[in-house]
Amino acid sequence: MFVRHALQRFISSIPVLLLLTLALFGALKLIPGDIALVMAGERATPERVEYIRESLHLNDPWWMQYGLYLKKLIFEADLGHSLLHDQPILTLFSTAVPATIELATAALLIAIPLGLFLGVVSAVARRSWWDRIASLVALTGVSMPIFWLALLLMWFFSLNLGWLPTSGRLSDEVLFDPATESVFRMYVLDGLFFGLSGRGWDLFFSACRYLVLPAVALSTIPMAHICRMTRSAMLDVLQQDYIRTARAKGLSKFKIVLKHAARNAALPVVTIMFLQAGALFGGAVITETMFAWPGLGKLLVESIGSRDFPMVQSGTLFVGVVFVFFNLLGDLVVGWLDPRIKQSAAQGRGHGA
Amino acid sequence: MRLISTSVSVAALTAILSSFATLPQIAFGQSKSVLIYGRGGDSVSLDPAKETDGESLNVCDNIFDTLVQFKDGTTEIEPGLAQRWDVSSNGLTYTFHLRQNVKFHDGTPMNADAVVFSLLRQHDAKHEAFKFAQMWSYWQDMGMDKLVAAIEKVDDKTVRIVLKSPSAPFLANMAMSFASVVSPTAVRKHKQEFARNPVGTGPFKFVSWTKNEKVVLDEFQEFWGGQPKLARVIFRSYPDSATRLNAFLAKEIHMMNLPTPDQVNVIRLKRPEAKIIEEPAMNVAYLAFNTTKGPFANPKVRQALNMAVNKGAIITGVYAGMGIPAVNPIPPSLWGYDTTISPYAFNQGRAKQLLAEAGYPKGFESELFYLPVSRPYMPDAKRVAEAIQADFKAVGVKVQLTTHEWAVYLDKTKRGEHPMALMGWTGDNGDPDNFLNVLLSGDNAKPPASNIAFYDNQKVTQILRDAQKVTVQNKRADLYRQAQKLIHQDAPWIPIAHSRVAMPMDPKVQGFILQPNGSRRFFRVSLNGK
Amino acid sequence: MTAKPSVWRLIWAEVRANRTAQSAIAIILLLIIFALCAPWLARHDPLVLNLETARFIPPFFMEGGSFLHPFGTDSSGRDVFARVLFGGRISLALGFLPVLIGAGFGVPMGLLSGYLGGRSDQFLMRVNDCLLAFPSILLALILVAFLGQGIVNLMIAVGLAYAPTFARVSRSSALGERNKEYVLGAFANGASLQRILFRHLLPNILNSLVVVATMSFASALLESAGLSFLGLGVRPPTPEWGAMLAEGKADFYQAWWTLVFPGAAIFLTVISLNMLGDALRDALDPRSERRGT
Repeated sequence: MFVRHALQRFISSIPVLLLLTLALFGALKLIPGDIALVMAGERATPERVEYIRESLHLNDPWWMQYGLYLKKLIFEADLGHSLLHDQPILTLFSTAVPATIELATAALLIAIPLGLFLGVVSAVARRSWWDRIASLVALTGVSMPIFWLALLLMWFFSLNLGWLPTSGRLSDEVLFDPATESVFRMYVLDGLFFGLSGRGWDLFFSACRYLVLPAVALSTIPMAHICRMTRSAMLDVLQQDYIRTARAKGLSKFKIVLKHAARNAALPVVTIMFLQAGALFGGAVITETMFAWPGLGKLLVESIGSRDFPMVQSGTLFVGVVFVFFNLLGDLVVGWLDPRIKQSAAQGRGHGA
Repeated sequence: MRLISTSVSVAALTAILSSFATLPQIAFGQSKSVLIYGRGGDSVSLDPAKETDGESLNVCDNIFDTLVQFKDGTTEIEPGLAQRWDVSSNGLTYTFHLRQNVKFHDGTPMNADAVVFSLLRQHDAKHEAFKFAQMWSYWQDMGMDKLVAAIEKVDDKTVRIVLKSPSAPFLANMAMSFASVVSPTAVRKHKQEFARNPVGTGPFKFVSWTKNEKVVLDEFQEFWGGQPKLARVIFRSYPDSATRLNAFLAKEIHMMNLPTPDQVNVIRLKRPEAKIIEEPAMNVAYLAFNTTKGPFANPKVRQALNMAVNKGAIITGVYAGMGIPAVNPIPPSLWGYDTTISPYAFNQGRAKQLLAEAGYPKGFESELFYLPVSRPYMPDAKRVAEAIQADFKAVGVKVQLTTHEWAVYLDKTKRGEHPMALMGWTGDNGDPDNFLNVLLSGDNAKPPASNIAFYDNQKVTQILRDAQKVTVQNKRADLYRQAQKLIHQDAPWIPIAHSRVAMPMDPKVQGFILQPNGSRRFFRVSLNGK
Repeated sequence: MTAKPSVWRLIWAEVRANRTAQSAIAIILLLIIFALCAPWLARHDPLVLNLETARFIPPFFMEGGSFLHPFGTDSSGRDVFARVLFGGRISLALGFLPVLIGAGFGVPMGLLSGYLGGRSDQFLMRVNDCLLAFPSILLALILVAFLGQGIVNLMIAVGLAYAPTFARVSRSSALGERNKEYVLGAFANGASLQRILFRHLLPNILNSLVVVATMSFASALLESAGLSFLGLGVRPPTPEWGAMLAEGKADFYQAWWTLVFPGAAIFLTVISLNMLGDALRDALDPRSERRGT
């Protein structure tokens, strides 16, 4: 029953994704500028340019090009070739995507518990000092320009206190060659792996140190959103009749919060958690640039500016897919938690982050 | 259901645990002499003949050697992979006698076959490796494709190159990165991917490249010139210059490439023990008028605008004193520089007069392109552009400022989409031809043009062609002085500045010298106290 | 007609009661006044350079500073105070106008979709989901690459990114309202679609829209600043808070004031707007769409 529902939702996301590919394809085709000329580079000759146009099928009608693109994408997992880096995009993704995953996961690991905690506390202790502080913190999180925050963090923790490194992913002191030795392409996990297998914990600690500042900077926005949502959801629930009943019955506040309120407040909170997770993928752009974190966001910004169209296309598509995926996952989890929601599939849920 | 999932997990765990036994040991924290060099962008690729950008070539210059090379810190030629060479009396045949017992990093011998392979792949469309690049940029740009008649092996130790006409800059050109000798075995093995698996004869060999993060090179102990003093060099990329500065201040990198002048002051303040070496660079920063467009076709307009710009203020305020105002397209350190030319004096009143004479009493509107990136010749193009915009406004010319991503910027300026554009050039080989011919010859004024002023003065073009063929330096210098006088009159540019380049370093770094052509060599560098 | 009190009444009531709302409104009004009166308050032209003598003058409370340049000068000798004031005009516009654009596209679409229901609703919402799937900053980046640098293009790009949010909210509200008596009545009276949507439905969903608009204003401002920071958007030398942050970043060590003052301005504006938005939401719709803001 649940599986069928899941499948249904999955299938209904496919048209969205297809529409996305078409939209991206169309938008990029419309951008002025001759892609072949840019690709031919600094000292191009007309013959060279024409050769490139032919090999990229740029002279074919647009629907043929689109069809070819789709075919390559779906059947050959060929994401195309990056003009800027002169490499298959899949190769570039294989290093960039895990980097973003690592960063986003770390940010969420900070944001979710903290956001939940602050949100619950401020809802339960409404209008108290806790509430005010937590609300202020959350408000600050959504109001602060992240590049400002990144600089301040860098300045304070790296340069003033010297506790943490300013940027990058790994210290050069650690003898580890990511290209050949990395198993997960996520250095923290690799570090765990190395440590557990007896090869020392240097890698793990180094990777963690480099991860801290960017993760903290990135976590502020999702934390703020989660906190605010948790607070308002809890407030809603706490005002409900059955809560009053429970209190009248004499149950402790703590128990009430945990058992009854949380379960019912969970739905919108879970939704927004998934939304934020999905948004972090494409949205870590500025953080990655500031901290020289070689992830997908950084790759995308460079490619957009450099007119690296294949990369922009595939990269944005990837980000879109991830977002839709998380959206879907969120819906499914919510549906699993509360059977009533599953039925009203037409109800709008969530919004852009 | 339960049983299956449990068994799967157990199996997975066992697999993981057993794999521990088979992995090689890694040693952490060994003390090795490792130099960490912080730079801006990442390299595009590591094939020295394919690329033209500094970040690629800076790495390549440590992996590869050329037949002749520039003496450290100068543009004088000294033997490289060729121990000696002869030039025929008609200047058409160059015979290079190769050094013996030189090995590539992959163990194969460096010999005439390798040299011929390295050069012919750029020249001969039928060569097996020709198609491994879309374009052999520098080979064509330096005119080698039209100049070279033949590249032949005479015997295992000798290579002969025959030219179609005598070329004075030829030998200096052969010291440039594109003329590097690559391992044919490696090229045959990796094909296009050689650009990511470079194998040369240089003091450092390629280890790994994590895109947008770092390139790692290890010492090549059998280097023909002796053993390098560093065990490892790491090139780290920091596209954001503030982050790069932070990394240097936090002592995370030993050297910081291309600081802006303001950053140099900050380093002096915040990290006073850092060594900072400075050199007048062999470069020029300029504003090119697109002489084919509108008001800029009129030399009076160009001269007037030359008078409108307060170069001194730009040197003080943007270059923070690290540079001198430019008068000519070549820097004063180059032979052939004409010291007799007097610059257009800063005089906005006179500029307005001249504009009125040219038919623009009320001025006009236009657009100025400025670079999005920091370059050694222009550390902050945006501020230079803003200063020029203000100066122009004072004489009635209102310009809008536009920029594009670097690759797109280069593309657009080469195709002449700009009315005015900021640009610069760092000399490659110490020859005035490298500046004047590339940037101001009519031969290079067709898109994709390196002469982005699209300046086409027949007389100047002819002088530049002649100067290539003459071999006596004095005579060439005379010709170049003539050219500079004509160029000054025509004013296709506003030459802005010749900058000084600085390299902040950790005090432990010894033996590093700045090369005039912007190359970065680490062979003689060592880290004291390690 | 509905029996709900008018939007403005509710807002006024909340403002009177809530101190946070009061301070938020005060700050915002102050900022708007400053921005409007910029030419009179600023003693210098924000565009005038002085490369030779006036670089990096510190603000008035530091040694070397004076009230001539209360916030100091930047790396080209321009007065930071003037630039913050004039920049405020642009930054505020960059927050406000995209919201209008987004609402202009999103509200009609959402209303239509919610009112019609059925197949067209499903289709329109699919398209909406599509837009929503683009992380807004990437969407904006691509659009600016497409349309070129410039303020107008930046506003369109940022605005379009907010359309889906307005669409969703309008749609939900429309769904909730469409079976109400006044709507059915209008339909029975032969009102055109346009009339039903804009004269009947719209006024009744203003509640939620006001909240969304306020929050979007805040985040559009932040996003425009981010995009200007990345170098897209305003052309130099136009002052704009985000662009000023980009410049200030490079000069942080020598002149922290070039970074801190514009950053503080953004922060203050955005946080006030968010506070206002919160208060409005509490006032207008205490039980409603607590989705994600």
